[in-house]
Amino acid sequence: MGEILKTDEEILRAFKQPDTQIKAYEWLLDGYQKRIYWHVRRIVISHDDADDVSQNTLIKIWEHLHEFKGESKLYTWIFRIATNEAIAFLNKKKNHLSLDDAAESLGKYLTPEGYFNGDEAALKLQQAILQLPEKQRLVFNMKYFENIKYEDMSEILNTSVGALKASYHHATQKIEQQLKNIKPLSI
Amino acid sequence: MLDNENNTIHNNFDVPENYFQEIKFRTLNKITNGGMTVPDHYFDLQREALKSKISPVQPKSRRLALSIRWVGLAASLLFISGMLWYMLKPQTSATAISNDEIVQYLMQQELHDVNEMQLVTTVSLSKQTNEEEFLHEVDEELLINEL
Repeated sequence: MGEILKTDEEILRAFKQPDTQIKAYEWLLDGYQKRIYWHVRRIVISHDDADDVSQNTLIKIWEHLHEFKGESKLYTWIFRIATNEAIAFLNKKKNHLSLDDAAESLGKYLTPEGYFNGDEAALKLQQAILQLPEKQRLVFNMKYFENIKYEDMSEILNTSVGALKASYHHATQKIEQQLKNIKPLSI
Repeated sequence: MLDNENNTIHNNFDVPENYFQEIKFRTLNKITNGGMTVPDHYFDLQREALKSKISPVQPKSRRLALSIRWVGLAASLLFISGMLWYMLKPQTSATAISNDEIVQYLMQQELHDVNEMQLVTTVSLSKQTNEEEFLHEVDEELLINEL
């Protein structure tokens, strides 16, 4: 694309004008499409599911962006929608199976056919992450891979900063422990 | 830093074609996406799919909001007209009372006044009786006098 990314303010200003609404949405896609996809992908693991959920998320954003009042950052608002969509999708797909129980069913997507090309270390890390409880898995992914600030994460997950820090701390400890226990698997 | 060509010349080591681009991609991918990948051109395809889904129509919620706004406006207008009609409507005059209303009123009055009517009738009857008795007495007196 090679275009300079527009700021959230520019996107929102353009979205309010009917003649520049589509353009504003394209700017939003430039800035957020990939980030939304990867955020969702880390939750649902499967590429096909991530495709469905991220598309639903982006359409929902289009439908509700005019309701955005600017009380939070645009990207925390977007990530909250994406997170909720991903968790709802996963629960529905697994017949109300929570993320806590999803490790086994999701782990099967960590193959080259499932668009996973990580080496053994990456695979072990993903398997260890899948063993985490729901909240800790979300927090770990958002901090470790996406480097989201705790303050922003607090808005996205509606949880206090202190609780998030504690979740991340517990998650790293569990992953360290898991990495010691997981037997090496060939991809 | 030595590039691939210089490195080959100086050290007699070789690397596969585009190795450094690939290792850079793999390293970045590992750091940012934990080994997960997407099909080629996936994001471009998703972008096109999204644009085709959203461009032809206005957002549903916006249309709904507009409809609600119009319904609200219509309801407000109806309410205001109703209030104006109520406040400005002509007061009912005596001549405007219909016959039915008069009959209804009279019937109600009649029901309430039953006892009063009975009282009046009784008083009248007793008065009449007294008068008849008086006349009868007068007649008798006249007869006695004549006799």
